[in-house]
Amino acid sequence: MKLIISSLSGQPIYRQIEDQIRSAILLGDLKAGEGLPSLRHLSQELRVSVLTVTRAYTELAQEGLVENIQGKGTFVADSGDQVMRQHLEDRVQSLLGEAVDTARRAGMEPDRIRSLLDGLLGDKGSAPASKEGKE
Amino acid sequence: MCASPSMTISGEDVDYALRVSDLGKSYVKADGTGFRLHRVTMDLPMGYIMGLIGPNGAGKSTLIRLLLNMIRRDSGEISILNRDPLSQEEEVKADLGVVFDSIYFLEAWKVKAAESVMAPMYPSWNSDRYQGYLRRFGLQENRRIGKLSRGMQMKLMLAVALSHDARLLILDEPTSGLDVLARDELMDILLDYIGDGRHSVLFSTHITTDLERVADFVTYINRGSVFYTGPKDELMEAFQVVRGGPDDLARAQIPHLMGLQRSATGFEALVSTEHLEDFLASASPADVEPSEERYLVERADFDNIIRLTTGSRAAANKSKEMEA
Amino acid sequence: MKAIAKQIRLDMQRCSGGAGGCWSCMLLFIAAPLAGIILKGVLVVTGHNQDGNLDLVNGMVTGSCVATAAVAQIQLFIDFYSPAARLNGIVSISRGHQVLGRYSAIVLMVLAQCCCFAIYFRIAGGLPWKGSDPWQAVTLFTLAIFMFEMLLFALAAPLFYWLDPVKALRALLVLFAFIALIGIVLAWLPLDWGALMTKLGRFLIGDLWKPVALSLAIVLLANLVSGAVSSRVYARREID
Repeated sequence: MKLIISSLSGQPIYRQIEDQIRSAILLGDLKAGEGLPSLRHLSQELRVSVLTVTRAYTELAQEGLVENIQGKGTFVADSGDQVMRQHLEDRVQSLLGEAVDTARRAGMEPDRIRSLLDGLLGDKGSAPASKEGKE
Repeated sequence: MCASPSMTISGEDVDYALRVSDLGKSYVKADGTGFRLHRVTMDLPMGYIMGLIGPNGAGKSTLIRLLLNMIRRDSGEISILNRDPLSQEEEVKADLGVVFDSIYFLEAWKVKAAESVMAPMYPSWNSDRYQGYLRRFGLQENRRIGKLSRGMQMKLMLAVALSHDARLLILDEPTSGLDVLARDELMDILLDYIGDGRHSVLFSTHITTDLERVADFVTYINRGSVFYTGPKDELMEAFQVVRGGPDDLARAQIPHLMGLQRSATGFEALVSTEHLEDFLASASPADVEPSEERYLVERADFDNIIRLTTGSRAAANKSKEMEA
Repeated sequence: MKAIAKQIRLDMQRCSGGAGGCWSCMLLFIAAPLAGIILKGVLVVTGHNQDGNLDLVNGMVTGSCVATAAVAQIQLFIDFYSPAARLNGIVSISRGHQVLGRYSAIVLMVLAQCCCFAIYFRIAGGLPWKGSDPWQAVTLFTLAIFMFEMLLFALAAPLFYWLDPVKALRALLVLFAFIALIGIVLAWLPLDWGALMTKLGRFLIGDLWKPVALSLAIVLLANLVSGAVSSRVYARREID
């Protein structure tokens, strides 16, 4: 698993770890049931504190993406990628909701909104999921 | 401002490597000024690294001397590896590895004296591992200790500390004589050391960059008092650094600050995250939309926190807190 | 106890400069009498075995023995005044055991030295008085050296545990001056010194076990008191 952590970017390190693991699950680099590196192993590799890695894993577990099995380690949840997808769909829904509200305020007609949407979809084609992974 | 590290992975009882409660020590220094370590409380769970940060003279070294019973406490309790270091001093010290900022052997001795002196002290001395560290650090046994550079002397102490399966490693300003590469290597060694979850590290330093990534817990001491103790991430998230122009700081905003530094080109302030809104809201003129563009707001790191809380205002506030 | 043994070993290593073990230290202590024996042998072989030369060698050996003991004791305490004192704070030996260990180490080293010394004197001959039993004379003289070195330590140790080496040495000199003063005062008193000396002489020439027992008792008492004081003083000492 490839993880690149930067202390210089404004993002907290645990967030960076989280995001990259999340993308890996979504992309299929990490398959359902696959084990993540142990807390201490990853902390040594990334040269970050154990608690930081713990926090990242805990947040992912709370989202349902990974499972922490006592005594064995942390594994990608069986439906991890599905949970992720559901997540993202929810997010798209709320973003679209905002866009629609803004469009209404601007006085745009539904047809106009739809054609804008088609234009966007046409431009980007089927965008890779990783672009959506970044917050 | 103090958070206790009750963070557990699986909810079971936490085993502590070090527990300090209400530790106090006051004395008069050689130049006549007084020094006081005041009600220090902190806990280090087993298997983690705790950084002890603070400016020079804050009391970090005094705290470590108190832990080792090298100086006597006036008040408070200490528990090291679940033992009382006063009544069970010998058992406790057999499980401790200590590194100071200067060598604890006579400078006239040669490096090979280190093993002959220290090996009989510890029943679990591992000579192969020790020799391995000597090779790794490039220490030659026939050199006089006084002739070694400070960094090499520290590595010698580290080699000794790591060679008898000590369960708690205490390092007092070990990085002062090391260059960046050596400091990086030290971090790797420490992370590896705690790798099995049964060894812990207490690391005091005023070079904070070393600890920012690697420490799990932090205790920040300034002028003899603990400003913060708890998980490192929480400390860094608890504060923001706000920068602005010289005229951008209004009187009404000052009570919300934890620390402040002014210069001709502007000011730099430390604001607790929960008070950031209030701070921005009390900017002047009051009728202008408080916007973050006026100020540059960013996450605080250890350096900023220490620097900005060491100013006279913050210290004065803290003393007031202490008197209360 | 194990901790006391650790301290004995540590102090012996300190006396012999670090890398050596207990045996280097012992060797250091018996070096003077050993050298004396060799020197005596050389004198005999080269035919210079006169009284004058012998007295010289005796004096040198005796002086070297005492000097070795004194230097070793100073060596032990010298690192209190440097960062090397921190070693005392790190080792798994409690303060009380550190004191006990140090006293034991000194006793062992001085004993070793005295045994060697006795052998030297038996071989060397040329003693202050020629009693009927050569071993008696040797024993008494060795005993005197033993008492001297051990009482010196008993006097000096608490001072060195308390003060830094320079101040401690000064305090020791003051104490010597004080003792000398008492000696002078005693000499002035109208006591019958002649009779006392005769009594002492008869005591020494009599049964051997009496002087031996008495001096051992004195040494033991002095060191017990000294050890207790040292323990109290050292327990309160702060190591920076």
